Formats: sequence, structure tokens, C-alpha cells
Amino acid sequence: MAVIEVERLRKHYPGFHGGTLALDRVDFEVPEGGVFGFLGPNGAGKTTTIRCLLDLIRPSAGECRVLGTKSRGSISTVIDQIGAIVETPAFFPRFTAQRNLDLLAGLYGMGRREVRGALERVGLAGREKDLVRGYSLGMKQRLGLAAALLKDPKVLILDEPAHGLDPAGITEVRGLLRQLGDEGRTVFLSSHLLAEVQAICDKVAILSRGRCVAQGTVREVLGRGRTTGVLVRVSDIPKAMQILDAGGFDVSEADDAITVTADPARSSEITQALATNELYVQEIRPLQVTLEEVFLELTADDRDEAWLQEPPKSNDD
Amino acid sequence: MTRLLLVEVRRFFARDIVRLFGLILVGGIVLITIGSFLSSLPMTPAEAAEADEQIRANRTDMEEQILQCRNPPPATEQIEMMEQQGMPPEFIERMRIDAERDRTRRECLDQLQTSVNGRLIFARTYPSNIQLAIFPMALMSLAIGATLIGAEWTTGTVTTQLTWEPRRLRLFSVKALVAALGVLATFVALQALMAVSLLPGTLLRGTFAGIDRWWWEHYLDIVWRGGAVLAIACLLGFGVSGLIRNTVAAVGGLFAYLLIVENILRAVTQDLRQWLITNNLLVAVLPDGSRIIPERSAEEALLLLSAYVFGILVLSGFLFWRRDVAG
Ligand SMILES: Nc1ncnc2c1ncn2[C@@H]1O[C@H](COP(=O)(O)OP(=O)(O)OP(=O)(O)O)[C@@H](O)[C@H]1O
Ligand SMILES: [Mg+2]
Repeated sequence: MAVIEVERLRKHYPGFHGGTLALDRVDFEVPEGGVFGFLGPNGAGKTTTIRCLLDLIRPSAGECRVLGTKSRGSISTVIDQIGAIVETPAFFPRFTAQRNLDLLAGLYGMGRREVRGALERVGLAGREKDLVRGYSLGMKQRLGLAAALLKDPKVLILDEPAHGLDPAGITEVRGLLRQLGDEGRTVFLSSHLLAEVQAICDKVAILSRGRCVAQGTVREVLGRGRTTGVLVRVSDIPKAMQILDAGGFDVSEADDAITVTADPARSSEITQALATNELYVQEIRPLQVTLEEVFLELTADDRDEAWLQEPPKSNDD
Repeated sequence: MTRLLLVEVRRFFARDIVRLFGLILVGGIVLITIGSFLSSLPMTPAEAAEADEQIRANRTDMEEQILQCRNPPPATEQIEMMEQQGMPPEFIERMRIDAERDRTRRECLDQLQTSVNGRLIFARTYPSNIQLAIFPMALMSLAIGATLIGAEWTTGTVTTQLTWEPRRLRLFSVKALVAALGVLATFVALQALMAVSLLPGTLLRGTFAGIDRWWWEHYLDIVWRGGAVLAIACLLGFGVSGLIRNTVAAVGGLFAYLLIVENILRAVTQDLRQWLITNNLLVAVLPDGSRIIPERSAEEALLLLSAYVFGILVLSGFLFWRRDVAG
């Protein structure tokens, strides 16, 4: 069963000049267990989707379900199994971290013991008596994570949980999320940190300008990248480029090396062409496609047109 | 539901503003304790016994005094006196109407409170202190009601709470209920503290004489009207702040409306007066409120104010239920 289902989800924020179309028929499914990465550039609609999932905002069309329950109006029946962070987690600045969590825990009849456990799990033990006002961004983020974990939830919906964390914190959270996923919980993770996502996620969906432009396992999405190529290092770069160009290869120079846009399976043809012309290859290897490259490629539209321009406008509201 | 209620009660009493106002009230009470003690005269036991006797004598024919007070005789003597002093006739006429108008039992009870010069009389000082405290407490209640929901919006904690309790109407109602009950609990605590604070002065230099059936009638009347006014003020702040999702704007806007807009309306037209919040508040709090809006009792004023606040709460709750929680 899919734990999260989003179907033709549309959200239009009313406003001046026609408002903003934040989500435009988004579809995806998150299977049970493991870590699901939800990617997209700023303003793509990640937070908007998460707000719809949690019934914080009303979709303009389409619907979403969490644990088989429609979010709109019925989320309360499953909310005890959902831990969530929406944007920067908000707590009462003039209460201590402990009191903030106590007040949430009290809603479910939980007590100090559970609160302590959650605080320990995110590395805040010892700082629980401090006012949240005095917390750093990373500490607030950890507190948000503690609150999300407090319910011992089946599903975690986390909006950029690593935002503001230091490198050690990022590594810790990465380990924690992976562990949660391995325990059989479903972690839905929106993030900008593509290397993190690539390292811990089983599946991903990429959102761009309110549309889902790719989804599937990390491997499947990496396969969507067009940038497959081979890196070649030789002593005489200009000559080698000439030879390969003449041989029908698409070449470009990249710091002290040549990038050949071609299937890595054609490596032997490349070495052969160069060797016949008495150029001997110092290094040749397939170029690794990263999620970052695929992401930048798939969301290129977003930057070309939208960067420094108005956000996408609705035209049918 | 009970858990939500308990959590909200804890949240209420943990709020800085509630604690701050609590401190201010306690500070005020300490000042009253010292002030009432210092301002009352020391007496010999014989003088004290005599004063007690006088108070008791005053209160024997209370029902009769109240009757007289309610339907005052023609004010012939006063009018003659004023005519001799050469006062303008319209002025004298106004005085006559006021002196001869029928009074409410409430107003008479308030007027007939015992008094002996220089003696701290608990039966008199205590209720009048409580009555005095109601006005500042109403302002505090308004601010508390407003910040209780307004701060949730400005800090964004509404989002966090909704991911724990998404039933919005339930959350809203419980918050409103706790706000009102919290303010009422504070009012009860204030009364207890006020009573305790007057004990040293009363025991050493004063008297408890005069606490009888009429006194209780008078006192409970003050308490129930005061409590209703405080709850109304609190829910008014809560409702408006919930509508505009901001404490400062809500409190500022309400004060601007009550102090400026209503004053202008009062000046501009006679007909609107009976509908203004401030006028009705005065009718509800003052013992002789019917002088502010003729023919309106405190109960009617409270009913009207409750209707206003109920309307605002329904609108505010509806929007809390319907509107997007985004950003
Ligand atoms: N409350 C709102 N009112 C109007 N427009 C909004 C509101 N919230 C978001 N938007 C718009 O909706 C679009 C999507 O915003 P959203 O916050 O979902 O993006 P995001 O993917 O979470 O971005 P980021 O990575 O910066 O957090 C943006 O164009 C944004 O301007
Ligand atoms: Mg976001």
C-alpha cells in the first residue's frame, strides 16, 4: 500500500495579479518503508504539498491521502501516526524546549520519559531547560525533529530537516533518517541537499514549478540524466580533440581533460582512435552522473525563465 | 478532549503575560494591604465597641431603607435650597429628575453601605476594592485573550499544534474556553487575596461588622457582573485577535475603536449610544448604570455584549476552521 498518495493536486494561492499557482496537477506515490526524497528548487511547491498532506491548506483541486485516509477533513484519524516538520519548526520562544515538548506530549497522554527520549535522540539532552528563544537555527531544527519523533510515528513528513545544521549534524540526521527508514517507517523528506538525498533515499520525486518532473528509484531518476559521458586525459589536448572530433565524437574541454559525450561503452573506440594517432591515454573513465546534475537539468526551465522573475502565474483561475 | 483542555490550561498559566499580570495584581494587593492599614485610625477597645454598635444599628431596618431609596420622595427641600442660591432653572430641573427617579435595588444596596469615620470596615472596603479592580482587570483580560491566540499565529505555533490536533474547531473552542475560565479563576484568586490582604488591618484596627444578608447580596452582585465583564473582555480580545491573527494589531485596533471611534459616535448621535460597547460596559459595571443608558439594566447590557462577542467568536472560529494555515 502506498503510504502517501498525491493525485492531480493543484493549489492556487489567491492574491493580486491573479495570485500564484503553486502546484499544478502533481501526482506521486510514496511506498511504505524507507526514505523518500522530495526535491525541487526554491518555490517549486514542496512546502505547499506538505501543507496539503497535513490539511493545513485546502487544495484547489485533486486530493492527497496519508495512510489511506484523505487529508482534507479526515487527517485527524491518522495524525497520531504522523510526525511532521513544516518549514522552520515553530515553538514558543519564551518556553523551554522541555515545556514545549511536554505541552505536545500531554495531548497524547505521554510524559517526561518520552520527551527525554526524543530529546536524547536528536542530541538536545542537557539543553532542554534552555528557552527556545536562545536556540540556534540548527537547535530549533533538532527540536522540531524531536517533536516529530515524539509520537513514535509510522510516517515522518519532514520539510528540509537538515536546514541550518552543521556538517556533523547533517551526518547525524542522515544516519537517523536512514535508521528510521530501515525500521520500516516511511520518511518523506523534502530537501535541497542532493548529495544527502542520493546517499539515503530509496526513491525520489522532483518537483519543478509546481509540476512533478521525475519520480522513481534514485537509479531510475539518475538514468533520466542526458549527461552520460567519458572523461579522457592525454598529454596533447588540442590534438586529441581534433582527432576525436574528426572521428565523429562530441567533445569539450574540461580542466586538463576532455569530456566526450558518449556512452561509456564506446571507451575502447576512443582509446583506439587516439592510439592510432600516437596519442596515449593517461586516464579514461565514465563520468558519474549525480543527482545534482539530473536535478539541475530537469529543473533548468525553472531557472532560465523564472530566476529573478515573477513566480508562475495561474491562467485559469 | 480532557487532555487538550489540561494542556491548554497548562499553556495558559505558563504564558508570560498571565504571570506578569498576576504579579501586577499581587503587587497592587500588597500596596492596598499597607495603605488600608496605615490610613485607618487606631482605636481604643471602647471606641471600637461603640463603632460596631453604630454599624449594627444602621443595619436594622435595611429593607425599609432600601424601599425608601428606591422610590425617593419629591426633592422639595433641595430644590428650594438651590433656588435660593440662584442656580439656573434647567440645572435645577435636571437635579430634580435625578433625585426623584426610581432606583434599582442594586444602586440602593451600594449607597447604603456602612461607614464609620476612620475605621477600617471590611464589609465596605472589600467590595469597593473589588469593584475598583474590575476596570483594570478588564483591560488585562482583553490583552490576555488577544495574545492567547495572536501569539500562536505570530510565532507560528498554530502549525505545530495542528499537526498534533488537526480538529480546528475543537482546538479553537478549547482555547477560547480556557481563556475565559483562566481569567475567571484569576478573578476568584484576586478576591481571596484581597480578603487576606485586608485581614491585618481589619483585625488590628477595624471590624467585620455589617457582613449580613444584604452585604452578601450586594457583594455577589458585584462578583457576578464583574466576572461576566472579564469573560466578555477576554473573549472579545480572543475573537478579534483570532480574526486578524495578530495580538498587537488586535489590541491596538480594539482600543482605538473603543476610545476613539465610540467617542466620536457618542458625540455624533444620540440613537447609537445604547448600542456602544463602552456604554454597555459601564451599565454592566456601575451600580447606577441606568443613568448611562436609560431603562437598561446591567443584565440587559451583559446580554447585548455577550451577543456581540458571540457573533465575533462565531466568525473568528469559522475562519479558523476554513482559512489556509500557510506561512
Ligand atoms: N501563503 C502563500 N501565499 C501566496 N503564495 C504562496 C504562499 N506560500 C507559498 N506561496 C507560493 O507558492 C509557491 C510554492 O511555494 P513553496 O513554499 O511551496 O515552495 P518550496 O518548494 O517549499 O520552496 P523552498 O525550497 O524555498 O522552501 C511559491 O511561488 C510561493 O511564492
Ligand atoms: Mg519550503
